[in-house]
Amino acid sequence: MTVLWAGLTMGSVYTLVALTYNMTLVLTGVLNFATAQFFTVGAFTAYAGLTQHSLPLPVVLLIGAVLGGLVAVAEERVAIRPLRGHGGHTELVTTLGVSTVIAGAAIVIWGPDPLRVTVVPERTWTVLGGQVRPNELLLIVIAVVATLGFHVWTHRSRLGLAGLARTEDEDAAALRGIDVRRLSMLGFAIAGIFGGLVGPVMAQTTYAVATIGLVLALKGFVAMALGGVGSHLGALLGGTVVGLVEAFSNRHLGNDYGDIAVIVILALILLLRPTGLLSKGEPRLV
Amino acid sequence: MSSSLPHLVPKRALLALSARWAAVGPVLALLGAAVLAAGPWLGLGLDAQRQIILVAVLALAVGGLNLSFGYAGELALGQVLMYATGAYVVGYLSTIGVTNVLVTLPAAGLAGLLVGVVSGAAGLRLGGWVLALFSLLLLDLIPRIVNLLHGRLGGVAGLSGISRPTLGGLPFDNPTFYTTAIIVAALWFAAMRNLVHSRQGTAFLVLKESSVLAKALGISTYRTKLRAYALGAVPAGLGGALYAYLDGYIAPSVFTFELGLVILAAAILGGARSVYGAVIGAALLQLGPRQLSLFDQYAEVAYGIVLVLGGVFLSTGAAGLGHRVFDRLLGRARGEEGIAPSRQESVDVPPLPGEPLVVDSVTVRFGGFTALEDVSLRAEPGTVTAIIGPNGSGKTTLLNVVSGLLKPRAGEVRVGGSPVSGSTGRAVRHGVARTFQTPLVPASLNVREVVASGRLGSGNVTLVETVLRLPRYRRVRRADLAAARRALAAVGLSRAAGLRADALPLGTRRLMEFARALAADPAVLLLDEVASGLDDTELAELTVLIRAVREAGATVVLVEHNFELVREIADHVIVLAEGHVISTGVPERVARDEDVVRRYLGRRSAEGGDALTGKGTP
Repeated sequence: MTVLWAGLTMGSVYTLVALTYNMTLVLTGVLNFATAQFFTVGAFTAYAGLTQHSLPLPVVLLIGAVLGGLVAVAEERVAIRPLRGHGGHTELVTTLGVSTVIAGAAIVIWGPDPLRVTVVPERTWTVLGGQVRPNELLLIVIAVVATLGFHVWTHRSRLGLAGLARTEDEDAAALRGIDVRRLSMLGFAIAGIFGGLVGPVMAQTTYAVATIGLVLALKGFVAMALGGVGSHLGALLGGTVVGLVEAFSNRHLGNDYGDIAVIVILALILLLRPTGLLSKGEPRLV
Repeated sequence: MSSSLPHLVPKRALLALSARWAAVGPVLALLGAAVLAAGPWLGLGLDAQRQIILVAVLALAVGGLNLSFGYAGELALGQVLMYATGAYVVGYLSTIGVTNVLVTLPAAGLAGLLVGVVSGAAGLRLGGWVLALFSLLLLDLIPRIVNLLHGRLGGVAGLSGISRPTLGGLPFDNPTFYTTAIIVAALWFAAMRNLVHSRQGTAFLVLKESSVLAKALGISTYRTKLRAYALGAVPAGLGGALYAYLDGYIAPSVFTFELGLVILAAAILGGARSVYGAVIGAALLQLGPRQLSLFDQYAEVAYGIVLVLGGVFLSTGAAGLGHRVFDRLLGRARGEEGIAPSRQESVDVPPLPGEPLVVDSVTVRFGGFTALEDVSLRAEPGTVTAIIGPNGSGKTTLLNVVSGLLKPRAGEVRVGGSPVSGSTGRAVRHGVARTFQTPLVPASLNVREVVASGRLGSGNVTLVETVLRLPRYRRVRRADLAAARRALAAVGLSRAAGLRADALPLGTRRLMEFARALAADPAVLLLDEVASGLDDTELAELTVLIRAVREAGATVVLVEHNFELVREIADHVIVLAEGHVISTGVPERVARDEDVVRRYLGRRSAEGGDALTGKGTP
């Protein structure tokens, strides 16, 4: 059972990253490679605020949200907007660049070693016969609530529907009076604020460390691709599958097999059902 | 006037140089490589040799990335995986006593190719960022596999004692190894140069620009992407092998994401869509920042900034900068040479044996929307069939079905009796060629290459024939260029042949697309609103041209809004409305059809002039 909880916890981490990918994909039409780094911003904010300066938690969360939002909006302005209408996959290069700059800056400021962050008190509970920590349970709850929230929001709110319309046909959406540029900026802002807000909780599990962004970027991508690009419920399913497969493979096959198993599963999905598990349509988002 | 002479002379000299660059460039590059390879005998020190080998190794990996990313448009960050594969293959071979360079280097290249095919087959299903992230994810396999096979590959601690390669049982000394590394790199770049300056390279660029266009030209998109990606893996494997030999030691800690960043940054700096740019980018990074230990701490920030700025501003890198300066000096990019189609009285079109086109009860649905319902038509060789109808009536959808881009829900398309529906490849093989409502023009090609690209779907030339410039390649290439020349002459664009395609105005682009379709020697020619955006003179010439194509024997199908043009050249008219055929017949009959007048022609005349006579009120 402890393995199950560990798997579900990491699954939640991957789900949260996949959700954030989806958010910019739906509203902006861009796969933002730096998505996972928004959580890194939150994680280091938590370390600096809670550990280094002993600020109260709500203040730290607020700072994290503001910083995450600012970084995201700056990224959109510098690395995405100038590319509009260029076509190609140039945004992959520029967002990879932004991601690298953020990771590099974290190394320059805080060094390369993992730093401990404590958002909720450290305890170990026994739930359903397995050991789990409060922060891990909190992460799982956040992932489930965020999935449902994003899902309802995308399909009910004006903004979410506008995003779906944009995904279908950018030019048509612009003609119907949807401000594609504003949508893009909003997509990034929401992703950044979300990452800055959730990052501190995540950091208690993953630690604040510059290299985590890359790992999360990739595993979150696998979660999204498994579940179906653009589908929030798919992100939850995909994230959970990745987390569990990884945890059980590491436990029962050996430490190197978790990552290998994840890659094999992704390769199989890409070959057999390229649209992902929960996506109905054509893989047209790309 | 004498005053214009001073700047004319260098311009003319530049033009001459530019015309010969295609021939002179590779010779210069080979000479440079030869001088470099002779370095040890010209007094090049050991340390300098080592640095140059490292540049060559990095350039090989970058060259592979340029092929798949710069030319075919697929960003893969997994070059490091192929690089590591090559390194571990020669490392392992050395531990079991295989050191013959004629065995180990090909083995490393083939191993890279194999990894490229396997990883590309999965990642390229979706392409784009899926491939990019998937290939990046694969880097994680390197330490895992090395660790699992630690008995053979040395595990985390690394594999040491890799002995230098041998030839005929004699181990290479330092100068020999250095020279070998230069020769390997030179051979790859020569092969890559021949590959990208060929119809294969054009196919890559067309695909990068528009997969719809690539399909319509009969290019298999998946196979072409996989080819570029897998071929790009070969030099990475070779580079890895040379790296393993250089120090005789490899460890997983070398083959990281950071190395991938260096490779990508070098590609962007040098210009991803170039051959020699890979060498420039690799040299810039290897001889510049990578020498400074102070740089280490800020390395990631610096590479990140290179990627952002490079992506936004330097879309063509150092190599492109050179080309742009050159073009600017010649005034070529802006098309100063005059690009208006030249007037001509008669048009010379070679015989085009047409095939009857049959559309048999075709139905197309998009979700719940029916775009075409039970549409049939028959177009005969040597005739012009016009499809008219209001916007959204399904005209372009019908052309998409005929050219194989759309698979009908029901019904069939036959050309010369053979079914072609649902496959652009089959349609192209049976002689279907088309133009697009919005011209699809690869910006990076010149007009001659764009027109020659119409023939990419025919004439099978293998990679080996292309790289080695064997007789068959040269024969097909000559035929391509001759057909392009004829087609350009037919549309009156001969003088624009050397211009960049994106320098042409819209109307001229339509004519270029016409020429591209013509170059394919089509049996069935589909023209999608080819007349819009043309002025009166151009329209008159277009009329002459379409007639000439008809006289040459081709089956011409025309989607058109200009009823005057239709009346003038169409033998047969089909009127579509809301996905149904509402009338067919000769133009005069259709023009009198009350239903047609009410639903299409009448409304048009109410909107802006009399469509029946074509005399619009301005």
